[in-house]
Amino acid sequence: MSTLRDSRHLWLLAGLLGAAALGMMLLRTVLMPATYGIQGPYRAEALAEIAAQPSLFPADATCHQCHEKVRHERDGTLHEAVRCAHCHGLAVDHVAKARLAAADPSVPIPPAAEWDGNFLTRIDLYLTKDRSTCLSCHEQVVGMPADFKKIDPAVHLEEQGASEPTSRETCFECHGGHDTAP
Amino acid sequence: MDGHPLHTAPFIFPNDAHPAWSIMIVLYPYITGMVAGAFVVSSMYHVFHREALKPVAKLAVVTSLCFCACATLPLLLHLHQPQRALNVMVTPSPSSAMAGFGFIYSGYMLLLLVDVWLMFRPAIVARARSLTGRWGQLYRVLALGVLDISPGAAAIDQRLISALSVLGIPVACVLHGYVGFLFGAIKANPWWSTSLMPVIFLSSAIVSGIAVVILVYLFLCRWSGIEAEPECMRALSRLLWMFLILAVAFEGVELLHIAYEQEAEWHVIRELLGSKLRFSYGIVQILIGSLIPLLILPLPAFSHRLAARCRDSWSGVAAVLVLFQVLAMRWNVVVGGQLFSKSFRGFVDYPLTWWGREGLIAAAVVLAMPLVLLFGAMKILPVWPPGIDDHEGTIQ
Repeated sequence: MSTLRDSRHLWLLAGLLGAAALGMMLLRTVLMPATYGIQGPYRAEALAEIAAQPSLFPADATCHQCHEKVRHERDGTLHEAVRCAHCHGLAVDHVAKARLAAADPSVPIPPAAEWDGNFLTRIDLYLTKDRSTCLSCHEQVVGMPADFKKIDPAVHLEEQGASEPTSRETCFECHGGHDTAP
Repeated sequence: MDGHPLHTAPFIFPNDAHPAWSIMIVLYPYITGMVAGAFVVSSMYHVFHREALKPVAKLAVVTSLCFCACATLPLLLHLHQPQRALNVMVTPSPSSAMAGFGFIYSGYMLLLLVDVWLMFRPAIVARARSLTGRWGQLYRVLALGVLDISPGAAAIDQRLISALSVLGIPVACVLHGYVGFLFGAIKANPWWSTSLMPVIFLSSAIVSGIAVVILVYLFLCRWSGIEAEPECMRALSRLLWMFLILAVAFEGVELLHIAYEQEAEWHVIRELLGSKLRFSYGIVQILIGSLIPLLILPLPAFSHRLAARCRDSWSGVAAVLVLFQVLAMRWNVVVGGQLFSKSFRGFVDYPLTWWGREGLIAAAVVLAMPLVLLFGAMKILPVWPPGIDDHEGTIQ
């Protein structure tokens, strides 16, 4: 009996902690989103919400609405599978302004900018003929598929007799960008 | 072209362009580490009966509590959505290591709170009885309204304090080992992904906690005009030296392991250590923070001929350097691991700013907060000077 009296403060503390735990569980029932846990540890309805968001990543079809010529250049070539955005950037601002300009021709469409060759530079729309863009896919590294067009740049440029092998635009001495010629 | 991956065109994955974990994520393991370390100092007295540490035993556990209370501050600042902080406990993902944080942290915080409450309960009750007005009310609430301390109750409290101190050691290890696990379990990052990471974090945590206790103790002694206990300072210096050897050894073995294996990621880690982390790793973490304290700590730790002032100065300097070492280690792990792209073919920068929610000023304020709390705790509880509460019968 005296042990019970001596540990009165501990029983009180245990009661407080128990009440806090109970409160937390009640809070959980209030705060728990309705669809949480149906498919995993997240709100199942979040999937539909995310899917309904407008895409910031322009589809090629969006680009082709204005750049019809480019679509024909790429038709049937290996580069047809490469998304416009892969080489030219997301063009979010460019596309948004182009849509506005369709209704109001006085709205200026921001032109494409030259790329400075730095992967950290964020440009909305690149006008790039930089070798780095080509080499980001075509530089030979271990494990590339056998039939993929890949080069060791130094060897390739020497073999082909590039007139300006150190130039950023050296690839375009022989190749096109859109039509992959020759 | 010699086949060296960094000799090809640099390429940074778009999602690697900006380090996402800022200086606040550097501070989070730093502060958490001090919690675990300070508690270990307290346990050395309460569990392992190192009598020399009696003057800092209670100070260490209150320091631990103050740092624990601030451990989530950097996370709240970093996450930008503090109102969602509870979600990690309301809707936890059982497969997420991050979700474990809320429960491990809360459990440890609770353990510390109960430990401190029991230690100071006699003083709280004595003040609840003797004081009136608001202060009296505060102490009556802190005493949960139970204002009698019988010898039987004191004996029960003493047993519980011992049990909590014993339990606190593995829980402190889990708390900080878990922080290391968070980094060690990220397999995409070779600078983090090692099973040694929890041990490295834990050992450096203990080191930082001991260093904090040394500095707080020395500061309070100087502030109160009393001399630091020679045996206590020697014991603290020995502890610091021993755990620093362990911490540096684990860190060294980890790097040696990566370097000796020379796996695919070594070229990028070598570049990282030689360029981006040259100062924070080579100079601060290894030279200033590890080698110099390792060399000077034996003086205050083992010499009986040093003058008190000289001994305290050596210990204090070593403790400051060790705190820089651990901060640099956290920086090198957290920020360093984000300075190279997972492509292993390019580096990015982490722009550290003065102002803003995650700037240097905010970081300094976060680091100062536990000390402000400690100052407040000393106003409420008889933490300092040692023995002040003996007449109130506080449980030692």
